[in-house]
Amino acid sequence: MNVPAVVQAQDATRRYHEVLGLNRFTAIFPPGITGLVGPNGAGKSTLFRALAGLLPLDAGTLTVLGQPVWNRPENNRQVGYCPDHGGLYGWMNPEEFVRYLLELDGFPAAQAREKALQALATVELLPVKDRAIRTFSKGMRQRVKMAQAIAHDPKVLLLDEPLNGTDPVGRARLLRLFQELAASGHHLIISSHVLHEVERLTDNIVMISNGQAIAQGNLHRIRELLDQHPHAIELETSTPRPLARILADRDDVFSLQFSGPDRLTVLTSAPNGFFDDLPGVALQPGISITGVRSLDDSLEAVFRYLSKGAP
Amino acid sequence: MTIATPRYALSDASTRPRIERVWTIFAENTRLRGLRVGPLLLVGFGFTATFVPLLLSEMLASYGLFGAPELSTFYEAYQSPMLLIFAMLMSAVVGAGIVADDLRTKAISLYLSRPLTVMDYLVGKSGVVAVLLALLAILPGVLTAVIVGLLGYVPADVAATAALVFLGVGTLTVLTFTGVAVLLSTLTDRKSFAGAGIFAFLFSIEIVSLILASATGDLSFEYLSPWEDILAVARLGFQYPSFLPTIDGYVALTVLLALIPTLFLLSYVRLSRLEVVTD
Repeated sequence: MNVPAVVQAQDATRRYHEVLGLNRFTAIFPPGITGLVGPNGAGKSTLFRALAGLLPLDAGTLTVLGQPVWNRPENNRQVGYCPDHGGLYGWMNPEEFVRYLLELDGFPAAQAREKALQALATVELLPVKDRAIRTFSKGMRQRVKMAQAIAHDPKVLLLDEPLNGTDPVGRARLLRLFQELAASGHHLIISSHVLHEVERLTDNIVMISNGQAIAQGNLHRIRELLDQHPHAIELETSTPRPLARILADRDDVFSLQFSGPDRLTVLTSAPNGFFDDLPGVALQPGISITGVRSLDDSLEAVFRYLSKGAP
Repeated sequence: MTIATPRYALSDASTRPRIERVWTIFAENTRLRGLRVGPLLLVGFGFTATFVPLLLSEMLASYGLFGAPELSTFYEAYQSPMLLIFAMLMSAVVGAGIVADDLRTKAISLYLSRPLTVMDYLVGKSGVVAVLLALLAILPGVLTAVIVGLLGYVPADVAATAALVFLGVGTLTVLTFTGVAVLLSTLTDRKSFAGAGIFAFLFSIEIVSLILASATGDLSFEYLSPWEDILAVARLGFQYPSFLPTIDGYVALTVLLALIPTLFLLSYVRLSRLEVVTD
C-alpha cells in the first residue's frame, strides 16, 4: 500500500569534518508514529537537526510534508522539535520560556500565553509554571522541552530521545501523550535507544546505524526477514554439556555458548524448526530444560543483527 | 492518573510579521539582560560620566571659560576616556553572553528551528547590545546639545549640528562596539571568555596601535584602532582644531564603514555554519 510520506530522505549525507553524521541515509517516514532506533552516535540527532532546518546536507534531499527543510524557516511552523540535550533558559520559568518561543513562532502575546499554559497543562507542569527551570529535575526539563515542541500545534513532531531522564510515571504519561497526539492526527518521529519503549509505541520503525538506514518498515516484517539470520536462544538447563552434545548435531545450529553454569546459548538459522524440536530434545534421557528464552525478543537484538550481522 | 490533552486542530500558525518576531527577540533579551544590576549600573555611571562633564563644559564655555561656545567644544565627550571605558565595559558585560549563552545552553537550536532566519536572530540579539551602548554613546551627547541649545548657551544652529554629529558618530561607535561584541560572542560558548576577549581586543588594539604609531612615527597605525578612527571622525564632525598631527577623518570613516559590515558579516557566517553538536 502506498502511503504519503511525512518525511522523506534520499541519500541524505552530512559530514562533520572526517566523520559522516549521515551517510546516504534513505528512508520514508509514514504518517503516525515512527520510531527512529539506533545506538548513540548513529546519526539520530544529526537527522533531527537536519529535519528541523538546523543543518544543511552535504548531499541528497530531505523533505518534511513534501517541502525541503533547509533555508525555509517558514516551513518550521509545521514542525515541533524537542532536542535531546539542553535548549532551555534556566533563569526563565516554563511559562515564560514556552510563551517566548510561541511569540517567535508568530503568535500574538495573549494567544502565546494561552497556548503556553495549555501546553504546560498537557505535560502536567502547570503547578510549577512560575518556578525557574534551573530548579527542575531532568524529567521536568524534558517535559518543558516537550511543551515547547507541541505548543504551536505542529503537524510533525521531532522528538529526540524524549524519554531520556524521565521517571517511570513521567515516562508512562509521555507515552500516553504521544499516542494521543498521534490519534489526533499528528505525525511523530521519536528517537530512542531504550528500545522496548519504541516497541510499545509503534511497530513502525526506521533503524539507523553509522548514519545509514539499515532497516525500515513494520517491526514484525523486519523480524520475518531476520529468519534467515542467526537467532539466539538461551536455554536454562541443569545439564548444559549433554544438551550441547545433542544440539551440536543439528544442521541449523552453528554456535553453542555456555553463558552461565546453568545456561546454554544456541545460535540457530532455523528458529521455528528449533522450537518445534525442542520438546523432543527435552524428553531425552539425561536432559533437563527448565527454561527457554529467545534473546531476539527485543528490538535491540533485531538491531544488533541488522547492524552487525550477529548478536 | 490521566493526561488532559487539548484538541490540536492542526491549523496554520498565525502569521505575525517577521519584524515583530525579531522585536520579540530584542524585547525579551533586553528585559533579561538589560534590566539587571550590572548593565543598569554601567548605564547610570557611564551616562553620568559622559553627560555631566559635557554639559558643564558647554555651560562654562558660554561664560567664556574653556573657550567659546562653539561646535568644537562638544568634542569634549570623545576626548575624555570615559566613553571608551564604559563602552568597552558595556560591550563586555552585556555583549559577551548575547550569543555565547545560547550556544552554551544550546537554546540557539530552538531559535533556529522556529520560523526565523540567522539574520533575524542576529538583528534581534545585536539590537540589545546596540541600545544599551546607545545610552552611553549617543544619548548624553544629543541630550547635552538639545539642553544647551534650548537654554541658549550655544546658538541653536550649533546645537542642532552638534546633536546630528553626536548621532552620527555615536551610531558608528555603537555599531563598531556591538559588532565586536557579537562576533566574539559567537566564537565561544563561554560568556567569560567572550567578555574577556571583547575587553582585551578593544583595549589591546587601542594600546598597540598607539605604541606602534609612536614608535615608528607612522600615524597610519592608529587606523588599526576602532576607537582612534571614531575619534578622528568625531574631530572631523565637530571641526575640532587639532594642534598635533592626527589621522585623517575621512580615511577613518572609510575604515569604520568597512569594518562594521565585516564584523556583522563574520558573525552571520559563523552562525550560519554553526553545528550545535549535542551527541
